[in-house]
Amino acid sequence: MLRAAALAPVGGLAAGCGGLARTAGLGDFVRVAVSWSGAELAAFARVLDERMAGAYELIPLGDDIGAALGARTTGGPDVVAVPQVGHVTANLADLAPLPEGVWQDDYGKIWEAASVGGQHYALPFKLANTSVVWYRTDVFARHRLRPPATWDEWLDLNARLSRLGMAPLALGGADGWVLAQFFENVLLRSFRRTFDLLTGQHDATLWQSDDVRASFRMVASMWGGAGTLTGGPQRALVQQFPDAVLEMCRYGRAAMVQAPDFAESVIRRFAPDPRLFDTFTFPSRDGADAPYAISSDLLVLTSPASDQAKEMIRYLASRAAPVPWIRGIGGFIAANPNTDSRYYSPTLRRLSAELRDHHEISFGLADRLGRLGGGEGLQRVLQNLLRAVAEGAGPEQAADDACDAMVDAEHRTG
Amino acid sequence: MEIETRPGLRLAVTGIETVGGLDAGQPRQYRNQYLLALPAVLLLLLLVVPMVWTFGWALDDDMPLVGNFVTMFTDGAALRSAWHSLLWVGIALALIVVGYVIAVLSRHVGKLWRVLLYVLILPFGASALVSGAVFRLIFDPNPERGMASALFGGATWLGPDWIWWVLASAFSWSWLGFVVVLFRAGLDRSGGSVFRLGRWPLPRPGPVTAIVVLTVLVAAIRVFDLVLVATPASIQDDVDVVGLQWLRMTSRSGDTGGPAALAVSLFIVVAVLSAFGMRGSRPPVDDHLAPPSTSDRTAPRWWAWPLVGVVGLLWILPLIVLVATAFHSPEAAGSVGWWHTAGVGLGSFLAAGATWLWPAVAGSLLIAGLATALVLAAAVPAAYLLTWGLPRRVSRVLTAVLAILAVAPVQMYAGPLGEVFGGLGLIGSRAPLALVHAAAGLPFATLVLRTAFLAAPSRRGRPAFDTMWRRGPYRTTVVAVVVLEFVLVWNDFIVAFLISGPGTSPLTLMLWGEARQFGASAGTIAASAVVSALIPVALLVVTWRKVVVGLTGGIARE
Repeated sequence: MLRAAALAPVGGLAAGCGGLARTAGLGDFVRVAVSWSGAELAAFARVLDERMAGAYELIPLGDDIGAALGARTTGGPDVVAVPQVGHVTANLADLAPLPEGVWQDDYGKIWEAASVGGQHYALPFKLANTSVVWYRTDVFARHRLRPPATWDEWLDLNARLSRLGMAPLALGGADGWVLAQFFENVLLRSFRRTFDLLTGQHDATLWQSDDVRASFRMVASMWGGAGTLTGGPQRALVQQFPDAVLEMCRYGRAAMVQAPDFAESVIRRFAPDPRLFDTFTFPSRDGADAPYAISSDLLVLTSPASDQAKEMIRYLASRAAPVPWIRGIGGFIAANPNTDSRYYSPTLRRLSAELRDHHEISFGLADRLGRLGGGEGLQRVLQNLLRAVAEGAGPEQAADDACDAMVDAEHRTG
Repeated sequence: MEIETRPGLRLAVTGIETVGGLDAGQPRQYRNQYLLALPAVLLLLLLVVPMVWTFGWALDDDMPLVGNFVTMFTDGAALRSAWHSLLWVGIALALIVVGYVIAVLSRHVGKLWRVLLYVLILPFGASALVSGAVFRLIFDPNPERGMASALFGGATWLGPDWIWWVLASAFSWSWLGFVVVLFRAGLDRSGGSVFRLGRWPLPRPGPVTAIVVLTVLVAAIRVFDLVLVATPASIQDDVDVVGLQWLRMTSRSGDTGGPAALAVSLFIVVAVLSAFGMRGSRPPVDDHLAPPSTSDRTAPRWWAWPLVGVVGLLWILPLIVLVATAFHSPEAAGSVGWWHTAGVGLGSFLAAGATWLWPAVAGSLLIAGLATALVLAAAVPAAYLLTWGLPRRVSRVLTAVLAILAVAPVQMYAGPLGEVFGGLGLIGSRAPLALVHAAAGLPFATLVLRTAFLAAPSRRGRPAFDTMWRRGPYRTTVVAVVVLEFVLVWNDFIVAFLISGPGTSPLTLMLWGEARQFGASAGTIAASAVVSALIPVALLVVTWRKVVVGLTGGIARE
């Protein structure tokens, strides 16, 4: 077996030569840092290959992508796809403005802070609708279930599914951002005013407010509901985002999973029949109309920007650039409003249109709170809440502890 | 130099004869100092100054000298990480005992020793990142994908209750081979002498014990990437060790004092260990060492087969899991376990190769090659002078300093170096990273060489400097140092991760990026882990005899 493995690299020899040239610093290679891995990374490589084959080097940085922007670098990346808006605002001084002609006014709706003094610094490339819950249409049809419109309907639905012997929900608790998206959807869609206060000002006492406490209580009681999570909260704690989607789409152990539109790429890769899945909007408390939560991958140029790097940005800003990704693995909503929607699956076409037509979209809490929203703050607090629930704590207790922990985190990171 | 007068007849001309008369002359003295320049500059600029700097940070606080340490001892998270590091010491000690027992028993398994040997040393070549990835594959909580979950059901393997078991298994898998092979070499050499533990007489492994204990303990205390890759982020608090706590503190705030105090504490612990270790490992003088034999003619005992069978199977299994996972398509490896036949093929290698794998391999080759060449160029003269060229007292002091530098945790110099590199715009370039690697590897390489030189058969005076490079008594150790340094740098994660940042893209760092969504990327992770392990494992399998001899301070007769 080892010998067979030794032969495997031969196939990549041609690619290796390009690699050697890059290593030696020969040629003008644009270094592109991204947070994507696995299939998404490969899909992005296909996007670049359309126009820039052999002229770039991909650096997958995972969740450490913020560090790529931090320091002035020579051998560092020329282009970074930043998954959190907070990283862009924090590093504006190290960025070069976007080249002329790539900005569109529609991008202003996504994120106005990308522009300073008439210059634009971040190009929205991939858009994600995170107010989304995926479900199995076959299970819903068989048991005559309807997607819930209010929080109570959702709880009822969970109870009915549990009685039918099926776990209603899968949750990827090992990824803090999954839990954060769940929580910020509750807060944004049910307690809008408090959400705005929290993103607008740093005030520790806000985390003690009734609305925040109620939001923590809502997520704790849903995650802690008997038989609600597949494998129980213990396993949800060590299960990552794609694994939670697999629980629904591949193993059929869950009827629903709260996951952004890009869960579609997991479903297309792993589900026996990808057409059996659809989405509903994350329910608000009373079913009232509310903003959608979004996230976005923003392309930035590190300063000073080379001509090749600018050329790459121009290409990626074009309407056709994302098409190989959309057609290949899916799970991609183009930020460019002119990208042809016929390449989307029906579900993604609907989700994309929702973002375009809805009166208000908003980045989530974790994206906007900076460090307080990350692994030292909100994400960690929610993981500890899930853990407390797994160890048998009641929703009241878990919510109170979470509020206290957020006040602590606000003091530590503030 | 060598002169070939006619095909097949070579005359070797060495400098030994000239030693007597010219040795004390001034030109030689001048040349000696010149030889020390490269190692001295490397060590001073890249290790010593940054470490003093870190000391300064640690002592600098509103409450002078002790303030940061007081804060550390009242910080729950820091204390918990210290407790976890202590737990690692316990794991290491247990592993050493098990390794000793296996080494003792291995002298009675006859020809099977050869099998056991190769099975045990294979994993030693793989990086900690790879071994962490392998055990995360095995203990994947998903019952369709994870072998342990499929077999045992029930337990949440990566959860808080079992994670330590997973981590300790991964560590043991990597290190047991090292412990057993070195103990066995020591036992073979000690010629049947025994020591008593209570009533029981036990075979004495000899001076090699100090090397084994020191190396494994320091490895356990410095454990870092293994924990990072094998543990889901949600339970990191349960397994954070001092080294990781340092990382969290530095990424959390701009405060330099707190992390520095933590790094200094870690450094003091390993430095004390190292000082004790060096006292215990006086090299045997003029001992004609041989590597452990593989052709054992004694008849195996009745328990030889079961013992070798069980240990062999347990140790080869993770390798099978890794390779079998790698030879599945990304879709198959991401959804079902390695034992399924659907989706077998080269898909995962091709998928990883289509994006980042080959440039990363090239980058790692460049960094490791450059660092090894530098270490060789600096360590051989340094060891030569320490052995033959300097006054005994100076040499002894310098050796003690090197022993302490050899075990210094990266956290001790990462902070200041990162800051300086950032200021100079060097983050992300490969040559400076290779320089740091060279400085970090230099003390250990020099010590290994010096020990071997001391143990060399005594001659009249000292040998000429250029005999170090030629075929002859010193070559084995030089080869051992080259192999070890190359493997260490190739497998390194922490130096690249903490100092150089993402731009240099060595293989281990890229593998870590790929492991962001672990289970669903199992195929590409396994494929790149196989590629990453192939070179060091092959190197070690080919050269392990020389490495063992070199590490135990011997000179092999060629």
